[in-house]
Amino acid sequence: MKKVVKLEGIPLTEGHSGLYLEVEDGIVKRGVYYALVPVRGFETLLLGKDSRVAPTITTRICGLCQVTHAIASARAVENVAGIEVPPEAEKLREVLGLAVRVYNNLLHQIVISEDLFPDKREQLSFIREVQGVRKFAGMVLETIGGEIIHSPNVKVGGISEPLEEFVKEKILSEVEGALLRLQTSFSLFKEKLDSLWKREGFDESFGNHNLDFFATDLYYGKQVKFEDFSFVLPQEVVEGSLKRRVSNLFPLVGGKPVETGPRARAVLFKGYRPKGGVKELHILRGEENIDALRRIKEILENNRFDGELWNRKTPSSDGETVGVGIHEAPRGANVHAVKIDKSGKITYYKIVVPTEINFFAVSEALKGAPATKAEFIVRAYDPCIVCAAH
Amino acid sequence: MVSLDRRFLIGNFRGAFVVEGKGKNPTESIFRLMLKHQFIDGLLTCSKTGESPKLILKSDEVELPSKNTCFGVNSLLKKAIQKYRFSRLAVYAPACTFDGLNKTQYFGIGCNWTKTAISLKVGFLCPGLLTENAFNAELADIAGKSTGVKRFYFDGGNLFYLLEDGASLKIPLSVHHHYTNSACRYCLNMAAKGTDITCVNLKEEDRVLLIVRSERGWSTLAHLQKTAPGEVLFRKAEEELLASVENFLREKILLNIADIVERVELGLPVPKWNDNKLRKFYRIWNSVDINFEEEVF
Amino acid sequence: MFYRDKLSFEEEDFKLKVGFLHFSSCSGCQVAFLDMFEEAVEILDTVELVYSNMLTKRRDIPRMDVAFVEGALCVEDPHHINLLRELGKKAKMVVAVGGCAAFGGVRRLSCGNQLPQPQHQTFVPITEVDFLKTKVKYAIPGCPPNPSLLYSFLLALLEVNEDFLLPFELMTSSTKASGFDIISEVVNKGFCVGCGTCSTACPTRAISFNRECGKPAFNANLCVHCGSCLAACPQSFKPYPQPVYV
Ligand code: SF4
Ligand code: SF4
Ligand code: SF4
Ligand code: SF4
Repeated sequence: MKKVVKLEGIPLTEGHSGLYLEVEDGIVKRGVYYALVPVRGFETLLLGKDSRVAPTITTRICGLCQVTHAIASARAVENVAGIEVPPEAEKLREVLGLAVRVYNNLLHQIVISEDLFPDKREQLSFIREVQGVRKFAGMVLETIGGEIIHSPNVKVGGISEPLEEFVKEKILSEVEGALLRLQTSFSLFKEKLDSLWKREGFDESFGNHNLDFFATDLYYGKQVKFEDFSFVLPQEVVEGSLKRRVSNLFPLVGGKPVETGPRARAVLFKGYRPKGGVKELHILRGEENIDALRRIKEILENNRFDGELWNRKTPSSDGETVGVGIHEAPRGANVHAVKIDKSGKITYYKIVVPTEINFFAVSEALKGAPATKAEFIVRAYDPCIVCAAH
Repeated sequence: MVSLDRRFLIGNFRGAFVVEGKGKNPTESIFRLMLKHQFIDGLLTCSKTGESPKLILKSDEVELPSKNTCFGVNSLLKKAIQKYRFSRLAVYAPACTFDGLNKTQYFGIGCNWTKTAISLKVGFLCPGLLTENAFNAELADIAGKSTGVKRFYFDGGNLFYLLEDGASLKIPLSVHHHYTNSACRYCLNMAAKGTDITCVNLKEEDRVLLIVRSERGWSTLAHLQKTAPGEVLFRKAEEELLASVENFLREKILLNIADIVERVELGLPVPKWNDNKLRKFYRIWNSVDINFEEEVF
Repeated sequence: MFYRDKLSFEEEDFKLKVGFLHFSSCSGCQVAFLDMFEEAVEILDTVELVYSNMLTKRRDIPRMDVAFVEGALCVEDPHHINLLRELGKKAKMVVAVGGCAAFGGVRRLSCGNQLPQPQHQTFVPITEVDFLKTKVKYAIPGCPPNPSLLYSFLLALLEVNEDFLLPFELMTSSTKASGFDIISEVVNKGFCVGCGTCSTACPTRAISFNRECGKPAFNANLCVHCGSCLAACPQSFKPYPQPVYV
């Protein structure tokens, strides 16, 4: 029996999204996952503005992984204007990026704890533990970035405020405690994940696909060419009234749909051999938190940040060259591309966010899964819909 | 009707003391000791000359603004609390700074975690603040000279400046009122009622009048005396001294009230979201029997 | 006696039904509620969270006592129009959380014309929507509001502390906010005492401090219209009653 199922609003995910499923005998034959929140127009509203405000404005694309947009945006402008950033500032941004990785990934654990914990009391105590670690990540974001959500200190040219040694020591004094709490809550998380998989009758290959992986770096983000990206319009993918509602683009990398995120990073930079299903996404994401805290510790221990971290050079370019800024966000590679004119005004802005890249991956992963369980696949990707329809 | 009595002018307090600092500024000594013995982990105030807000972390760096200029103190609040993560901060500033701070504490607005991060609020009796230009104009007006001001103090109910050339200059309030920051002309809280301790600068640099208001201020000073006995000497303030402070405040506040009354009568605008304290005050000022609550202002 | 016992028992058992809904936003305001960290868990335990796309499994929007709404309404989005109607039907009271919902926020900069839906061009804060006029009781400034503020607000709401809530009620009637408020409402009117609170309150650091004048200086390029600066200024409203010291 063939039928088409359209779901609107996927609970336990960020934002308003939808699923289009062509189902045969309860199994998904073709699926499309898409965003349904309005396009806020961050790419057009920036046109004509001073490029130095781009990080402040683009960080407001997303309230979950805020600083990643500020970083990608600052790097894009620096790239096009040839502004050299003090190396310590880049390291400190890496710390911010990793802090938001932990902060956001753990938010995802809180969100799906509703699935994981049938017992309410156990769930609350798990959330309490996780919140303890998020508090540490929040403190890193607040002390270095200026605010927990939407860091004002990430500037074109660096970081606006040095980090005094005694503040650094304060952060370092708490990192071990946070790591310990994180490890404990992570083992509980894995245990509960196993029982969820058992309860629902999923196997390891639930939600697998054969797409390539795309990542630029393990922790921070390395340059890519913007020409590598192309975009499919939703009007070419979905049917009927959805054409006028789906609000994300479907980016291709090198002409192909790919998956980005924790698994892509593990495969490309850690030699990880993927098992295929979406369960490992949860695990790998959790492992990234532990890595991130260790890396934060390492960077802070081995560097000083109490000097000038901000190259205040006024950005300027020819209005033709495309500058690209990359940051490895919690969900994968976050790419901002910009052109600016001689006076530093933005003349072109383009944003490709990881959730957007993953829409096709999610759609592929849906194939062959029971239609009633499609939401579990979506959730495993931790989609951030506001980012996707920026 | 508002009576310009002590309760209105100075506000409620538990005790008033003249404090002597053995040749040093006693307020500075108190903060120094508090930092040294870790009662507080930072002091937020202005630099000595008052030109910029300052965050003091070490006891040997303690210096307080000595002129009646002290702007922008709260602009460092986020740095102190959200960045440096101080949890036992002391603040030394004029009353209006504490209006901002109390608001941040009460509503949580403006800066995170402020409610629990402030240990002690010390306000100074404020004759109205001046910027550098205003000082120059005021001195030229009163004394016809342009030497700098070193410190301000109160003596016998009058405001004085100690000038850089060593001379003391009595500042007539009617003139002073013209040169102060405009908002100071509508101020009804020069004695810093929303603080733990109000500090009144006196003629001798090593003497100060401390008006202790809150339980917190009281116990902090008591604890300090126990921890570092003899470093600063406390003596109950004479009635005469308090009366002179009261007289100063009365004289200044009458000037302010005249301005407020004029402003309300002309219907000049107040900021939006303001619950219109000026008009409220005007009503109370002009009515015979109204139950006045000092906390409105 | 029996009656009284029963009543108090019911009162103890009463849990405020709250929900989170979002229009065009970044979700930061909802996340900011969770940034009270461990305290957030205690609050989640005292109120009943009946709806949140992120935190509950419900698909339909149930009836609720208080709806916390973030984001601006996109007029061209049919889902938003539905949501608006639902909100009118299901929520007893609406709280506009954050700059976007209260004053337009960063949405005030939007001009649409971006693929794939270039028609998404109109973004209005919910305080500007007459349909909800009677429902929107409070507006909370900030981008996002400080977790401390959200925490205190929630407590005040639970305790019905009207002195605390009053200013947030006043704010629903001003649908615009920016750093110019500080200049036009306070500095120009001669009420700026130079305390610097506005400068610290600004989440984008658009307000610096002009030492020469002892007054704030505003850089409009960085302003995201969140309303924090004027809300934090001691000359806009004050805690009432003022802290009294005996
Ligand atoms: S007179 Fe009042 S408003 Fe002016 S600085 Fe002093 S305390 Fe503030
Ligand atoms: S007010 Fe700021 S934090 Fe809140 S939804 Fe809008 S952009 Fe996000
Ligand atoms: S100046 Fe800052 S605090 Fe004021 S509205 Fe603009 S962004 Fe908000
Ligand atoms: S917060 Fe202080 S400095 Fe800023 S406008 Fe208000 S009174 Fe002036």
